[in-house]
Amino acid sequence: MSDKVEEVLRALNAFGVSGLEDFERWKTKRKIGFIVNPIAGMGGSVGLKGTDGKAYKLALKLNAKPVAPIKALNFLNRLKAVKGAIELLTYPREMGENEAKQANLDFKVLGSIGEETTAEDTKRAAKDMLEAGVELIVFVGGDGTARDICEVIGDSLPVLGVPAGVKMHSSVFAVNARAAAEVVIEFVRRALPLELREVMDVDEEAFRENRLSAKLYGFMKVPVKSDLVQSTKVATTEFDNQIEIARYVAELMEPDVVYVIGPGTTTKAIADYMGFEKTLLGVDVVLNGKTIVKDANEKQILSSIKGRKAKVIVTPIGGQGFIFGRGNQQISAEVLKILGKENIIVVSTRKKLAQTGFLRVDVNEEVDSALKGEIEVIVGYGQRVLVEIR
Amino acid sequence: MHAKIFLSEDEMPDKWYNILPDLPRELPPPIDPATREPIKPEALERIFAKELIKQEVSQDRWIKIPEEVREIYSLWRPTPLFRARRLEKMLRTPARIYYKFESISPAGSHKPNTAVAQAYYNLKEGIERLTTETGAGQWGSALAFAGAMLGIDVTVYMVKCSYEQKPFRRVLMQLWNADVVASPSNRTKFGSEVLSKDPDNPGSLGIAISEAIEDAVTHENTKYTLGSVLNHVLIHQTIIGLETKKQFEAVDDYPDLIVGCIGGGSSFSGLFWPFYYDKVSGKAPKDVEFLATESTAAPSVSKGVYMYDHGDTARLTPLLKMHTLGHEFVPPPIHAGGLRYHGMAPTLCLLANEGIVKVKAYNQLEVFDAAAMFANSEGHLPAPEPTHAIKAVIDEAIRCKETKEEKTILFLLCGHGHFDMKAYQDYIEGKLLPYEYPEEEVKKAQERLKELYPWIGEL
Repeated sequence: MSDKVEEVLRALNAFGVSGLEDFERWKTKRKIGFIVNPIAGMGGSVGLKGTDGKAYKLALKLNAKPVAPIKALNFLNRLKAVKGAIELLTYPREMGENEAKQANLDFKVLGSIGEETTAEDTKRAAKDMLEAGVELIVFVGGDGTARDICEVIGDSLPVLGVPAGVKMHSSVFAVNARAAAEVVIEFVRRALPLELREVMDVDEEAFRENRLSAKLYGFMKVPVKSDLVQSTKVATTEFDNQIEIARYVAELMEPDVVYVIGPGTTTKAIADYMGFEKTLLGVDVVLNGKTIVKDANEKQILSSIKGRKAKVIVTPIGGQGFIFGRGNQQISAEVLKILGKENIIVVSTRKKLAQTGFLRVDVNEEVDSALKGEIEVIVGYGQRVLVEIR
Repeated sequence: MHAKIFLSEDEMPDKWYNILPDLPRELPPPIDPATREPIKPEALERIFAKELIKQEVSQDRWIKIPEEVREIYSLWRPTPLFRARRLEKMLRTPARIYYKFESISPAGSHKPNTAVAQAYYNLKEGIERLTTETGAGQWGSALAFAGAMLGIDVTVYMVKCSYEQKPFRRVLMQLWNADVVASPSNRTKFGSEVLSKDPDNPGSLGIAISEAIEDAVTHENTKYTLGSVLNHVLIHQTIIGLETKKQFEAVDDYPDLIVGCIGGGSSFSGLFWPFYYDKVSGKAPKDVEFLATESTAAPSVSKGVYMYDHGDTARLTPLLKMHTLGHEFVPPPIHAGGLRYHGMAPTLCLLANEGIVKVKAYNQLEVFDAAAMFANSEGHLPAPEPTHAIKAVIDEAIRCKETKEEKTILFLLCGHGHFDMKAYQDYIEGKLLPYEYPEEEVKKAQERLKELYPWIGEL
């Protein structure tokens, strides 16, 4: 029967009647490569800019928690919808095998790895998967992982990133693990459009010294489903905008610096993204990726910043533009005098900023006049605008 | 000063026109990539009625329309030819704009012209049931209607997400006693296989086609039907152009320009073929031009290259010479779903390549602007597909205003938009995007094709 159907579909296909492709698509299981960079993202919560090279050891010393395994499992669990249609080709243990086992998907393990995983393992995994004939490689990691895979794969095979890194300048990532799973499910069901997307990375050493130097390393072919794969372009929703800001602030945060973080959903998004606790309406104090004082009062703030390098992160009140003196009075005149204007980080979604177009302060005369003038506001990933404080 | 030009039922043509004997060159045959030899249409005999296969390759210029078919046609045919005086006035153009109105068929489009004919020939050969696939339901409802009129059973595999989200055409088909199945389904082995692997699969046209074909080849007295692309389908549609010619005779006019939209190419071919015949046989009083319109989201003929295209990414299938954007091309979703079809009638591709048919692409925002203008002058609401033709006509009429040309322009209003209100809602709410397909991508796709088949250029 199947032969007869195929014969007819073939003949019709000559006229552009497109049944055959779908017919073939469902005949066999789809092979999908799955690579986890188990140490990706660990630097973020402890204020490192990545975990490339020796930074990983430092991250471990700072007691950083693994991020990638959770994202990897989250991704695979959502793939269960098409369990019968896919076979994962993955690498041993923490490079994918563990999560594939946990998610109870069909999988095959290729290659071998040593005690600690390195960039070489990622490259070898990509090469093995290419040779094993996978149709798509999904990796869990950040810019560094993308670079390693790009070096081997280039644009010869579709690749999709599940975001788990600290740095994610490349536009090969889905918005999050859930979105990545949706893209893969669509990829299994039909021919998704493929776009050549940039693989970018920054020099981590330079970045730790706060010099931003993102470089284009190449292009990969990425399956794209409407809004689910993030491009380097502007985010569309408030929520996406907040995530975009959080990703950027996470990169800016330094180790051994005390961060006094004001109330609001935008600042809360930073905490959620980086995985530390934060009250929505209070001021919280954070050090090395951990909340040291929750809902702090002025006294607690003062004692936390005393004699240390400290910065404050605030977001304006929507429609009014106040960054100090409304809803965050704990960040008092005294606190601000100690910190100084150079240690104020203002974040705002573009929409919220557009509501007023300027910022306001209402602390006391002395502080207010010291703050007047322009200040940089982070409105997106790597995007700052100068805004006037009135 | 009449708005409509009618023909009586007695004046309905009794023959269809077939373009094959009048083509400037022979149609390039489908090629088997393994042997590089032309393939024969024998596989198609398994699923189509014998008479339809005969018509597919027939070199007869005129094919008699069976009396029984004409009788059913008479439920809505001959269709009127409108003179768009109110649109002309709105545009202040000296051009005379006419449109042939296929929206008044019971299914709301030109599709029943072939559905009735196909159902008839199958019935005559003892076939008891027809299968087909449908996306939004245009073709499915045309076949359901034909089945109801002729008393032949119809099974329609409808893409599941349309079945659930666009229920109105489904209900129409069910009212005409068609068995409408949400695809993928457990009716077929293939559908069951898909469901076992992916229970929530929303369906696709390809899956629905596969199911409809499996159903036809595994059941006695059951055949499959197709609503576009194939030559026999185009032949049945020529009743449109043949009527139009008579209607022009009645008002002593003749078109300078004929415009239509192309998805698979059947409606436009149905309109312009008879005028093409006039042209090649020296009977045309004027040098008529033919303009096909398509969407910038899938501009296969205007931007594609006329070459042998392989049918799938697996590279196993026959190659057919057609305009292609490359098989890696996946058109974005647009409301004019009928223009996203990958296949295109081979005759139309050939005529476009010879320069006999010109092709222009428009984006969906500008065509809906044209549709709104049309609805506000002529009143009728066009389906999203013919809005592309309307846009071209309006542009040309405005040009005529500048040059003071009293040009006669004819276009085909191939269907109404009463089932497409979601598209109009999106238009009114400003949600439509003017998709353009990047030319760079097309070039890349074609270069890949040349890499795969270095010998393609030699054919």
